[in-house]
Amino acid sequence: MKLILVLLLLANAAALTCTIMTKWICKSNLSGTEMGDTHDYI
Amino acid sequence: MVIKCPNCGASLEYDPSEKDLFCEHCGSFVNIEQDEDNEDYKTAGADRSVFDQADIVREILETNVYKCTSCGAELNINGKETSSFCAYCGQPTIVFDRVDGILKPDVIIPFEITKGKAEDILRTKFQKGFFIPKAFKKFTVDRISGIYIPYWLYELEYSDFITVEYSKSKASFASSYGRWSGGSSNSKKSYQSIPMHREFKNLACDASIDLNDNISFMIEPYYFELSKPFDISYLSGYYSDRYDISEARMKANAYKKANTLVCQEAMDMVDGGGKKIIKSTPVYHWGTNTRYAYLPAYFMCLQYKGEPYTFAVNGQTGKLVGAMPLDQSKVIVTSLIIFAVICLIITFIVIPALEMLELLGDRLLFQFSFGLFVLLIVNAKIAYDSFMKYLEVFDLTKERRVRRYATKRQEK
Repeated sequence: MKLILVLLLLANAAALTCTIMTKWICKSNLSGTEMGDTHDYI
Repeated sequence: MVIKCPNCGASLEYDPSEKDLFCEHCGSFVNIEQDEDNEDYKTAGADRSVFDQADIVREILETNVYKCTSCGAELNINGKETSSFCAYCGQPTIVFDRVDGILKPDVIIPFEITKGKAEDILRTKFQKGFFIPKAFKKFTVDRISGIYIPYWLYELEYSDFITVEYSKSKASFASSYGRWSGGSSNSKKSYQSIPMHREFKNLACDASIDLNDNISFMIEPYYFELSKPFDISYLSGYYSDRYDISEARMKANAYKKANTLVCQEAMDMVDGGGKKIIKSTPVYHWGTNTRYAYLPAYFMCLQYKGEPYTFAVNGQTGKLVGAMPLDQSKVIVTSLIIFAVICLIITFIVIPALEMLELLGDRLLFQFSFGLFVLLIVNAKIAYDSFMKYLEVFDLTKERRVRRYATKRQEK
């Protein structure tokens, strides 16, 4: 049980790293993904 | 489009900062409203034709299309103008090629930002980007094309009764119409029905077949309160495309766009997770006043490691669309540092806390493990979605079709 828990913790650490990194990459290297809403066309 | 300077005969360009035509050769400004010499071709096109709908009469803007024997440039020159040289390469001999008629736009949003400003926007974004390669930051733009993109602006009255499924016990909802029904607060999955009614006056759809719809959708929105009745002077110094998807054919896209916008608005009104629309019953009615518009955009082309990149900038708002390449070594090093920090937190905070939990029994430990598993799935999904969004825009930035759209025109 303890081993599974440690593995889960490690997997979570990796997934959290990926989440932080992808969010950071989008903020740093990506532009123009905010879309307009209905009020922009009325 | 070429308009000649009344003082020296060189080509005039529309200057977004001064809102006038500017002659680079003699430095004079020509006021668009007072440019009476050009009145003839501003109103050129006595030929009127019925377009698609019987009650809509549209003006045809007559232009002569000339082909330069030297550089091959095609010049759209109004019927009244006589030209003895190519405005692009200076070649004095121009061979008359054909006379063409293009549909005169009803409205135009003139360029609000200059080419220099558009380049500054790109440069500022590059400087701020942490994961952008250093070599890429020192870019030189191969080409900037200011292009008026043809759009259809539809009037559409759209009503819908949308049912949203969401997973949260409580929902707060405020509609501008102040009415709503449905919703269950006891079940895991709740439902909310929202009446929606929107009257679109400027439902803009790009009418150019060559331009990727995702690009045109992303550089929006444009603000139509700043639009002006069409005047040919605004085209001077810029490229303009003519529509190649008819007003009638584009209606399907306009309806789809209205549906997407309204559904998104309905989902935003619901406070909860895992939202999805399970029922939609749209009723819509098209207005008769569909307008043909020219909307401004800059396209900037540059090269990095032999690969082409094309960035689009909204010519009115300066919104930049594009994705930059990644500095892979920086990504790897930063990932390892973040991973190491998280592992340290786990080792020195989480594991000691777990040892305390173990004393409380296996059942709590099992629940904790299950919670970790759910967290893992959620994190993986967020990371995957974010990266897919990046890749989608990155592919658009590198798409050769977008580059072709920006570069198929003759260099000035």
